[in-house]
Amino acid sequence: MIRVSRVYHDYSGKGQYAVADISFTVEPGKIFGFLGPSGAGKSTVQNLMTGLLPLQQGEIYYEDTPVQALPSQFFNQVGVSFEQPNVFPTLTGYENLRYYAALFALPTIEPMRLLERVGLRDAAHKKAAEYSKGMRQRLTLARALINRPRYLFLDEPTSGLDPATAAEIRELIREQAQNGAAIFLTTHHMELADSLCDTVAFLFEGRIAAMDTPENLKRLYGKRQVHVVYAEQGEERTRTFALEERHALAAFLEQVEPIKIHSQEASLEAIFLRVTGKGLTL
Amino acid sequence: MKALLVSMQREFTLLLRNGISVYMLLAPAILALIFMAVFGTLQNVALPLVVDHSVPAELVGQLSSVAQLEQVADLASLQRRVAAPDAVAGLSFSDQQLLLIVEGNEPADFIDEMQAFVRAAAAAEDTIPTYSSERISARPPLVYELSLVCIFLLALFIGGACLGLNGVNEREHGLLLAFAVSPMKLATYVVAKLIAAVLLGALSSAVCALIIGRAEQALLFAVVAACSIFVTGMIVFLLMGFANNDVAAIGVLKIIMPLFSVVGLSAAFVPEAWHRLYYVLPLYWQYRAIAALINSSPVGFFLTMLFLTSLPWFLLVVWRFIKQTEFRRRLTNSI
Repeated sequence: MIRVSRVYHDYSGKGQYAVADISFTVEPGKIFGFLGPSGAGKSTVQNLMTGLLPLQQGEIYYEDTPVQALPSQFFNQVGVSFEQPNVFPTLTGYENLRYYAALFALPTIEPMRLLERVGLRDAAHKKAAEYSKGMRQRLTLARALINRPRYLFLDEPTSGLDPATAAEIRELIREQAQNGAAIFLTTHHMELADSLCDTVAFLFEGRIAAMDTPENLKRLYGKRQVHVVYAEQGEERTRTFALEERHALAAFLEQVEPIKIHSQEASLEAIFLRVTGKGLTL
Repeated sequence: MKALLVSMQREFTLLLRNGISVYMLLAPAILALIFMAVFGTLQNVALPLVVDHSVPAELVGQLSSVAQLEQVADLASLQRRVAAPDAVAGLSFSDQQLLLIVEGNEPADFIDEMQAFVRAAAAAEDTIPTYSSERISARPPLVYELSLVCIFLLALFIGGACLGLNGVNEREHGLLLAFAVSPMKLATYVVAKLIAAVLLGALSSAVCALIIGRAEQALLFAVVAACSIFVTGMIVFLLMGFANNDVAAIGVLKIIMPLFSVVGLSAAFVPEAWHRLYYVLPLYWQYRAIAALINSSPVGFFLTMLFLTSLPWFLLVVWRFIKQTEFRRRLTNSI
């Protein structure tokens, strides 16, 4: 378990906090989604959690060990995938993984098996410089998984991927959680968070604006709606009702010839907009 | 240990796949070849003399043992050759007499000395008398010594520069972050770079020693490279600390390369009494060690001083590198 408690970070040293009062817990076998627009402070929190930034204020614990006291051997259990794919461009995909695997003291996954899982088997012996951005992203993810991490940090893991590959990667991430990894996922893709995360936190201007399971957030902040598509004067029209307006909906259905009726849950993106007053593409 | 070995292997793989590094590695050897082409000729000492076909074969044989002989067909050709711009005397034989032909602008005693030389050669019967020699100068000429020192300094520098370029590449592609969240310690990362750089420097120095005809000293030059480990490390981490891409790295190289060459060498032009000012500089001891090797003098003291004085400078540079790059708190804690 990773426990983050009342964490603040100030790059400038002048009291201008990049992140403030951040508290949450990442449980083993669960995926914690950290959502927010670019510049909200997601990477700052990840860097504080992985020890890349010094902790100025607050507490971060891995089980009973504070992040400041983690020995280097602890990182045998950690996997990190960065938003910018950082791989050796002049090494092949296979060489990149083989080198990284050799840094770990624990048994690792065979690089070729992992490359196959992320769809890079055919490009295994090509230099990473020849990979597309999506391929490098997958290689970075494979590198993060090579040591079967107990603590997995993923920064925009499906960024730049085609829908089919993104689905494959989502499945791979879900598997890691099923195997007991505590996963911290930062993204601004609400669909990814919605489909993967057990808990999500909305980060806005350095603070957590809301945090709960996606279902609870939708229940708390979302408006569930019903769309009725009907024909009028030879044209297809749509009318939307809030789920609470059930009498009005029933009356309307008696007046028109409905073509189709479907319900719609509020999306996380709409909820984020409602909670923060601003969208995700800032 | 495994992390150290694979890191060193990675360094060599990256190096061989980087065109700039490969060309840089060849530079000291090419310079050594040029050195041999220039100084190899200058170091040869021989008396030039032109003879025509009238000179008896026996005398030609005797003269060729002690002079660099050139033969022409007849007297006219001989006279034309003597008149050519280079200083060469001619020898012909007519009416049972040797005729020494000179251009006329030689020093006054040149003709006498040349006559005595030819007479001595002609008087020798079967063999030229044995003779002993004496070096009139204890050391080779300064230009020779400094040129050689430069070649070896370059060989040592290139080892560090190549590994520094690898590091700049790692920095440019954000790989330091990946290392920082791996179990690899900062010490492992630094030592892998140092050993790889020293091996390159040692290999490069040994190759240069072989090219310049000092094969017996190749191992000693490798020892100088080993004792220069922290100087080489300074080059690696100065490059990595100040450059975050290849273009910036070339700029930094343009500054530190002359610096690392000139600082030590400048002592050659400074009075001995002022050398105390250099004692804290490892580059001075590196120069002294290489110069001592070239002159076949003892190097132990210079190597010890090189090792000792370079350590604090190296630690300063690494500290600066850690501050400058993403190698933050965790790795410095786990040294």
